Amino acid sequence: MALHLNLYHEMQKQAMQRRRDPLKLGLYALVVVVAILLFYYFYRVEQVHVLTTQAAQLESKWKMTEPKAQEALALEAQLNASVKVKEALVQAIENRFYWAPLLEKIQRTIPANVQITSFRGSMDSVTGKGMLTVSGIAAGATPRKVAEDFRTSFVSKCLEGFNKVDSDFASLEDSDTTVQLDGKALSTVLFSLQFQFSVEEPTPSPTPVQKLQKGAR
Amino acid sequence: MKLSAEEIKKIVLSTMVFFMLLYCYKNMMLDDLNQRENHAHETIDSLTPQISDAQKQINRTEVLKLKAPADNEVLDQIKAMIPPGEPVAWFPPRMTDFLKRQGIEKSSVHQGSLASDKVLPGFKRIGWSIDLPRTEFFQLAIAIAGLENEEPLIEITSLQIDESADNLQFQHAALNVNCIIKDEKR
Repeated sequence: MALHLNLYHEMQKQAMQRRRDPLKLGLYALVVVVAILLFYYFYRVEQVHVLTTQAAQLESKWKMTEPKAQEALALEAQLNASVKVKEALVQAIENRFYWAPLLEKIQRTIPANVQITSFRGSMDSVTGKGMLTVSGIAAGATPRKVAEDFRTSFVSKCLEGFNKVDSDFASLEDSDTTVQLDGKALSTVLFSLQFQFSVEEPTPSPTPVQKLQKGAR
Repeated sequence: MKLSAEEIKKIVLSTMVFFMLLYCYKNMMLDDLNQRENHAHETIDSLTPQISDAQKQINRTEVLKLKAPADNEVLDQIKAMIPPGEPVAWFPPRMTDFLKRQGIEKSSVHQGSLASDKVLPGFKRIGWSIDLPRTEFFQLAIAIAGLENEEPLIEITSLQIDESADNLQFQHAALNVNCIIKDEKR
């Protein structure tokens, strides 16, 4: 076996030491880390740039939209007020109480043996409650019954279709005077009738609890 | 491998430089970016619903604007029914003329209460009493029917018909009516 003498071992050792210099290796590592960090930084810069651009676009859009929305809001309030006034006027016109149809019914309801001497009617458009006072003379063999029949027929024919109809005699007095009707002398009564009615829609009654419970099962 | 004292110094120095670099990187570069990102997120989160609401508001108003001409037409028609000027100047002659057309010659019209209506801004309700000393029931009923048909802004609030003391053929009637008029002060 041949003997080899390495006369450069000292130089090689120095070269190896230079290669393994921790500062140099550390610097290399530092450069790599810095490169990674820089790459991440620029990646984040791009991400943030996209977001800030989006935010800036929204801000400029908001600057354009906000005044339009404010104008629209003001206009909407104005238009709504106008619509409300129109609806209220239409309601006021359509919800009026018409007296002519009632007078027509009354004219058709009064029998020959009853004469009306006074008629008073009032209607409160706010509450929808009306009141009638009808005074007159009723003649017949039993004039009180004639007056009572007139009251019931008045309610059933004249006040048909109204709600909460209530009627009673304010006065019913026998009269000394007699009247001639169909050649017969008939005794009379003086009457005064009061009628109360409502034109508002009846409120629906609440559903009984038992019914609800049965339905739930 | 044994490290010499000089090499250990170099390693410690390198490590310190590295951490300083990291510190500067985080505080001077990343934190600033994070702040800008948060601010952008806040702006986007707050503006997105606001813009959406504003757009909805604009669309809603556009729909209302499309309906507005029909509503305004009705309102203008109703306003056109009300003559200009003081009601006392035009209402009594108007009623007297109307009643004469219906065959009722004698009538007197008096102004009653004047009330503004909360439901009807820009309008008022004025009360009038109409006295008809000599009329017939049928004539009166026809006149009332005509009044209710021709004058939609007039509402009869009360009606009184009594027999005439001197002539049983005729009746004495009194009407209280409410009339909607424009509120000129508005």
